[in-house]
Amino acid sequence: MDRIIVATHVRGAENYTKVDQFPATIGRALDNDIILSDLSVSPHHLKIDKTENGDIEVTNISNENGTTLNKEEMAEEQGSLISCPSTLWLGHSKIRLLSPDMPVEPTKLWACTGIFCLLTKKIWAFTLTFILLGLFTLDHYLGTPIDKSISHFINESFTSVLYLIGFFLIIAGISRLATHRWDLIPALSVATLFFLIPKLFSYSSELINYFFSTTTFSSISLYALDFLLLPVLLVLFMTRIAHSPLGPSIGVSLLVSSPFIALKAKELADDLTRPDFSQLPSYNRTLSSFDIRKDESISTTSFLEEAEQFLSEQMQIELEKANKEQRKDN
Amino acid sequence: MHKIIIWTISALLTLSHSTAFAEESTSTDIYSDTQQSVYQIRVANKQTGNKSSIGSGFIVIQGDILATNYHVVSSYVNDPEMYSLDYLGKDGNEGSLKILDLDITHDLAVLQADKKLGPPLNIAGLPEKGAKLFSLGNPMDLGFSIVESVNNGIMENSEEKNILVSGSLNPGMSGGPTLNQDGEVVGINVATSGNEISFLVSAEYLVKILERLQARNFTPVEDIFQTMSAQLTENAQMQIDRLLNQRWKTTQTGKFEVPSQLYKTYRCWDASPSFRKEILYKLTSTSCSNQYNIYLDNNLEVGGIAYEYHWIDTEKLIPQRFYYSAYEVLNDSVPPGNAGKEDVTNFACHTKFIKISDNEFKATICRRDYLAYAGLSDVLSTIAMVGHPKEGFIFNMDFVGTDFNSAMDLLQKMLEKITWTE
Repeated sequence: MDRIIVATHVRGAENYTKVDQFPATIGRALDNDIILSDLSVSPHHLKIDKTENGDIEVTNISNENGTTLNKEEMAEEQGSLISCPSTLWLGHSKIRLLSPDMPVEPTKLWACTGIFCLLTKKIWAFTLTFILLGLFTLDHYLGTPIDKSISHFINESFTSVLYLIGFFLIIAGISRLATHRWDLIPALSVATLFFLIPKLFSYSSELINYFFSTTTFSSISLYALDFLLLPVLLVLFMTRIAHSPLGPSIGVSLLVSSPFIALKAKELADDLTRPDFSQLPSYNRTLSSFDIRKDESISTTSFLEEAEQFLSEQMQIELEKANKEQRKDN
Repeated sequence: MHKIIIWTISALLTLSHSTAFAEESTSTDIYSDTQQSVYQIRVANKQTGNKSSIGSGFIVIQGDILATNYHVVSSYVNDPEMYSLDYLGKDGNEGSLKILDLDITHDLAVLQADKKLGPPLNIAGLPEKGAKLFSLGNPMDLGFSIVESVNNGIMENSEEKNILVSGSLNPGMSGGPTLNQDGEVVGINVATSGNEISFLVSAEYLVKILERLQARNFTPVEDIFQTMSAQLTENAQMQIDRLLNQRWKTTQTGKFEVPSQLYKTYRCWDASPSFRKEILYKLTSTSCSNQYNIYLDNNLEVGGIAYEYHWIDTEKLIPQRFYYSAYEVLNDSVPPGNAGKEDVTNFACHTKFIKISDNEFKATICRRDYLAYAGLSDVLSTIAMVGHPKEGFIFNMDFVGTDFNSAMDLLQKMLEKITWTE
């Protein structure tokens, strides 16, 4: 092997140095061939040499903060023949020794396909954003039975737009940190999706709740959405759009989502620890002019008979529960 | 004009002065004749000995039996571990009391003292309207007092059937007797609305308890809560049976003909919001109730039956906007009262779609039961029309502390009477 590539990782960025003059040394001192400004690296830490057979040999010339080769500790002055790729830790610094022939996968960033690829396209990002802005306005319009002009409803949705901008900036910031680029268009798409998905979800869950005359569907799935939506969107953004590795992407997305998740976790904890008594009845209050539902209408008499039987059974259960609780209190 | 009013007032003053003068001897007689028979009833904290609430009571039928209001002794009944029940006479004579029997629906309790306390008062029927009455008691713990009042007769249009008197009852006089001019009990002081409007429980209900007690030789009821539950359930059934046997008046609410006043004890009010030009829908609401509150506890009153109708329509709102911003907001049934975890279970609800008068409705009935009063339930029902793009109709009916099956019978008849008239 005539040449070797040394990959070092400095401040989040990968540096590649071609080594074709042997021996070469790596260390903190300025007379090294590759200089690593990390305090855990010795002034002269590692020597890379070529044997007579043309193999590459690394020798640990440090006795300070340890050296490992492919997770194996190297003794001082120990030399080892290596194959590419190999990973070494010099103190806290990771370096990789790579062969120049190593194949590199094409990313096809611009020719990609699939939904995540769409998010990188201006036309889709702006379409999604306009749909969201339209829904913000529509929400205010549908929720106000008062005669007002359309500009009033646009004004009303201004706060939501500010939230969207804030969120867009956070995600753009993440892309800057992860890829050293401003991926503004995909960031706008992801920020929009973060608001759009719960909105579409709440519309559809209302229809589903009405369809089944229940309240359980929306409450269970809302919790799932609260906890999962942001980290999942961020991971997808980082892996599919910024092409970051999965592990660090999960780390960053959890870090960014942690304040939101903590807030939701607190709400969930409040819900779970709240005494299970409520003065208010819980039933599905949704009304619909479309009236699309699973069950056919029944007669008043059958309804009252059903209710009489069902509620009497439920009361037995509720009374037993209350009695058990009272005994516990006593 | 001023002159006439002044004359009128001075005439009234003269009149009342001369009347008072004419009756002075009666008042004095009643005061001296009855003061040995009226006692302060106190509920006190056992640990501190301090009074928690006070009322009045009087001796009836025999020297150790006292009658009072149930609400005077309710905190003792609900928590006998914490409170004691005592009497205190004008002469400082005091001792403990126990509960013999009660009539929860008429707010009456009969108690037994640990010894004979004084001469029992006689009970008589109600004199004619306009007759002078004398209410006795211990207002605000200030001392034994007598208040003159005028009989206005039994309020036939109320569920309680209490006696209305013109006179000023005050806190602390609850449970005290109101006497006729012969010093006989005609009613028991129970409530006031201020401005000389006061209410008495008719003594005939006390007579019923005393007859019951006499028949079983004055032995106390075995289980107070069971007795109260039975009385409340029976009362609820009776109330509803009476409604079911009535011919109901009807009224028009939007395109529906609906039952209006179910009985003379019910009052219906228009509850429509005032018209505003910029609001794009029109809402007509009617709200009816029996205005009945049976006192059980500090935060617990039962007996109320209330129902309301909302008709809402629009010309300018699209269906989604109409439903989302106006109609759905009305579909909200909130239980009246303040019952807590220690009083009732959680609500359970049953929702289905039903057909009334060829229209589709979303109907929900919710029920919760009382923990200490077996057989007593709160029932909420809400029936909302669906499928009409520009019109909505909601019928809500709430029962507080009722018999569930009777409530369902009443609901059935109500729903049968709701008819589409277009």
